[in-house]
Amino acid sequence: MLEKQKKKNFDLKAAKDLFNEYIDKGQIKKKIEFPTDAVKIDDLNRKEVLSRLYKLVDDVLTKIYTSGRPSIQLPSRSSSNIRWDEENDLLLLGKQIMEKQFHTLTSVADITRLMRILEVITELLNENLHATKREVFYTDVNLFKEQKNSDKSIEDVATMLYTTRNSTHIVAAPRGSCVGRLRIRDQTDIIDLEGQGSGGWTISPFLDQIEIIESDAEFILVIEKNAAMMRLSEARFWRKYPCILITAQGVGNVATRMFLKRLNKELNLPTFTLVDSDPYGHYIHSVYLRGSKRLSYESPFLATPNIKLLGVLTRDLDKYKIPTEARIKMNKQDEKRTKDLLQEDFVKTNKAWEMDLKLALKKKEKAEIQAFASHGFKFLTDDYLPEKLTTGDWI
Amino acid sequence: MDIRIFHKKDGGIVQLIDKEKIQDWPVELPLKFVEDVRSKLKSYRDEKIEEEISNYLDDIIANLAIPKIKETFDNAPKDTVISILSSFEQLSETNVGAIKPIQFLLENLTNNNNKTIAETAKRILNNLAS
Repeated sequence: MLEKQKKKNFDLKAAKDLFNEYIDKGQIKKKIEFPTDAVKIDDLNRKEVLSRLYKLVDDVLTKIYTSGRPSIQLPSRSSSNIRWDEENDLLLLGKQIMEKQFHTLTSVADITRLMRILEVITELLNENLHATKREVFYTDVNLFKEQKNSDKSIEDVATMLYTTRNSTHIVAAPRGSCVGRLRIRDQTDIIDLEGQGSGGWTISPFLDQIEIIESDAEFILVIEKNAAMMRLSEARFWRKYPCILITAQGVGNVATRMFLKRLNKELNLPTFTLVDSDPYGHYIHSVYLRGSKRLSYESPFLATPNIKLLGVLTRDLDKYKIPTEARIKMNKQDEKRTKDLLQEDFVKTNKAWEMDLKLALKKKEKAEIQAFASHGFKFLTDDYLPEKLTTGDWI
Repeated sequence: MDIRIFHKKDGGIVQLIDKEKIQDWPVELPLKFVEDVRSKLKSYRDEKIEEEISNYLDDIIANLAIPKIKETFDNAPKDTVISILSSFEQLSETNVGAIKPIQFLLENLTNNNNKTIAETAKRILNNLAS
């Protein structure tokens, strides 16, 4: 019995060592140097975005007056123009430029939508308002027809202006939540994230209005699933282990990733992901780590390159004796996704990650975070996580 | 520097926003922030850090919050002063300790020739006294 109690006294040594290393290093903030073959994107304030927007429209008007054949140039967002920058460990947009002509029949709808988005952004910035992508779609349903068209135009405009989407005041609907040892300011409100109930604080997409003001956390844990977040919230995990918990219920949306990036950068805290042991979980981790291909132009503002994959690793399934009946057999799509991940440069250069994915392919098994409930509801919070953070068993 | 770091004996840390960043806040907010952090001091479980943070908060009150509020009370238009006093009154109803550092400034306002300003100041002082 005594031996069992002793075993449970985890001191989170490995996580603390990493934390001390970051705190020491954090005194010298590293600024991202963009490689010469990547497009540089800026996070801008209202005035700066408006200034770029007016210049873009002026250029179009000049072309109309001088040649009668206006066009707009913007960086291509096709997959052939997305590159992994090994130095910064980020997915970035290359310098291939595409041109959209105003006078061709095929581009009329596209150009009209772009102009409409520019108009909406001008209105939002001038009035200092924010709108969700869904709201923007509803400003002109006849023109956009489907939300995917307005979404594409919004991303095109952001790249045309060489800025982040959030800078244009078009934001994603709130989805993520955060709880733990953190206080923030939202305009005239001070919000204590320890006292937000079991659901936590909904991460605001208006991040330009949020300021981090106090924290005694020692690490951040990003959780794939709401069910696991509930388990940790109910255990008040952050009271015993000073931390900040975040979930976006699946792939992190822009607001969640941007907020995580700020926490990681401003507080210099070690950051970990807890995802299902399956290729989709590994993909979710990769999006937090290097950014997504679709939003590669924003990666420097969305990715957290020092985030660690804490679990659930394939090797954990045997190590923590997950019973066979709690494991799930991989299907063909899982196998394909795992093989696709193994082809990514950022996996190939991370041997531990590559090994874990190869092990998954070999065993053809996956498991959800909730599989630990087979050892009791408290196993995740009292044993698995503290042990991994103490021994440094992460990728 | 955006964040001020305080080191605990056990290796932990407390990170607080730097004073420079607080300068841009709405005038009533630093008082609320200081009182919020003060209420949390014991939870850090470290006497050394308690004292260091307490000194830092005193510095914010003395050199940032009070001068800014005094400047507003002395020079801002009456409507602005009334609006800020109204925020202080709300704060005094929920967190009276936050108002204490500006008691002397409120006492000066009780003789203000603007009736609304004088009466709001008196009500806040009453909340302080009760």
